[in-house]
Amino acid sequence: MKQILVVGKTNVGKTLFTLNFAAYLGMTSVQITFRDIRTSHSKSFSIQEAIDLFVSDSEHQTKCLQSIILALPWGKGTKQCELIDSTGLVPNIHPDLLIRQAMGQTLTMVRQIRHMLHIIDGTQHAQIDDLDRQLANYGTYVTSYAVIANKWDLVQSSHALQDLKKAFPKQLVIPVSSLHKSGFREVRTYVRNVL
Amino acid sequence: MIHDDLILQMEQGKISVNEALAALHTVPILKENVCSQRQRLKDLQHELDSLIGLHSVKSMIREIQAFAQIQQYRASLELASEPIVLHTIFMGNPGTGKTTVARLISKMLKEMGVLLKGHTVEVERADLVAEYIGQTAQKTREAVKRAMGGLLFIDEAYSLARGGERDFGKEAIDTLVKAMEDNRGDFVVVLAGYPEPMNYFLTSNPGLRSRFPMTIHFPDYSDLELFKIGEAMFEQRQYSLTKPARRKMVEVIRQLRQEDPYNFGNARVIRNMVERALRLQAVRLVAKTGVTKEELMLILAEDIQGVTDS
Repeated sequence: MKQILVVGKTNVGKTLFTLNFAAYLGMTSVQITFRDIRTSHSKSFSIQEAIDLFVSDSEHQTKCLQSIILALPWGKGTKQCELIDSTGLVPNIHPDLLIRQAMGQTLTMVRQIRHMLHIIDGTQHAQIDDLDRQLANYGTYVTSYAVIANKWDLVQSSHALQDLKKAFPKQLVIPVSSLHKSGFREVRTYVRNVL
Repeated sequence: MIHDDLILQMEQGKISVNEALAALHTVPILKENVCSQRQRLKDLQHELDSLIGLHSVKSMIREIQAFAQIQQYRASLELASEPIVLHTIFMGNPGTGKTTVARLISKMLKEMGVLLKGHTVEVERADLVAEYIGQTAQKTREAVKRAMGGLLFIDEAYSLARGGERDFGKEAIDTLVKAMEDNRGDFVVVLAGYPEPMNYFLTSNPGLRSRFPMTIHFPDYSDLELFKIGEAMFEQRQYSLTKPARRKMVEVIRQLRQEDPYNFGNARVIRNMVERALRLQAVRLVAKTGVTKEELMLILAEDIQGVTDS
């Protein structure tokens, strides 16, 4: 099964994107597999339940890899892929060992994955920092890569998309609002291309 | 590996994520290897999970896997780590999946980096014990040599102690124990057999018992599990069962178990049943002209019924 890693800085909306994209595909519940460095276990949630539990304004709500299986309509049946949500990255040295280990897990996955969705905060379009540039550089190594500019509903500037396309000239940039599930059509096209 | 070291340094708080990412760019990507290795392990886990029943076996294997991974991780952090001794005893009635699981475990241990080759050498008494003095040790050592980097599966292990004190089976056991001590971690020994003789064999060889830290019990399959196994076997061979055939299959499984509850061969009986049903279907169709594709794929109740006729 193809795996797609959802990666990005902390608090850019990776988990909400993952869950609401599943909802956009028509799923009402998800089985989330939690993989930390030691064990893995799965649990089913309704999408709303999962959003209530795992989406928060505070940083580092996701502390391990959390994957869900997406089923996309394909011909007369469906095709599946694994969407892996990861712990958000911070540019500096984080004081909490557990968070650093979780970020280590994210980096290990970045090294292994073939398909990557790099989530950025769309409202920060004018200030793309080193960490996002580094991740975008990684995008050149993987088979498929796209920048998802989240929180697009909050973006005021009409030049925002041009700014982003300038900052990520070689990459596909998709503006979305995970909260309002807008822009997901292009994401679905990306996933279909991966499959 | 270099990239593991960089991530470790980041986890230890020596470098920032930014620095780790920048340095990782300069390390040649070994993605292909790691990715395919992890994928293979995942496929094997999936294969194990897709085996019908065997819940206790699966959870035990998950324990072994977690233990091996954690010990490796501890070792990488220079913490004291337990040696990974994975010699195991498989106890279960015939046809409960002992050999299938052994083959899978060996491959999984290879993908986890515990074993080098991940092959399985299946032996029984005749492969280890010779007829004349001095030959048994050599024969056993040869079997161990073949199993190096993989798993040595000794079926019906209690037969090694069959002939009493003067039998060469004892020599085979002693040679095996010595090889296990000399080549720790290089191969895994699995002693398999039916529960009762196995228990007797192990109590009469306490030295052997202590070298096998784990015992996995393979419970008998329930009638429903056997039905599912049979159904899956038909499916694999691109056959499907009609509703009456499915009902008949449940009946036949019950009947076979009742006829000989003590020597009931579990999944092995089902495999024989499936193969017999396929032959009976062929007999039914061979005389017929203009057989359709659907008919070629369909198993009727009469094909299953015929299985019990000797």
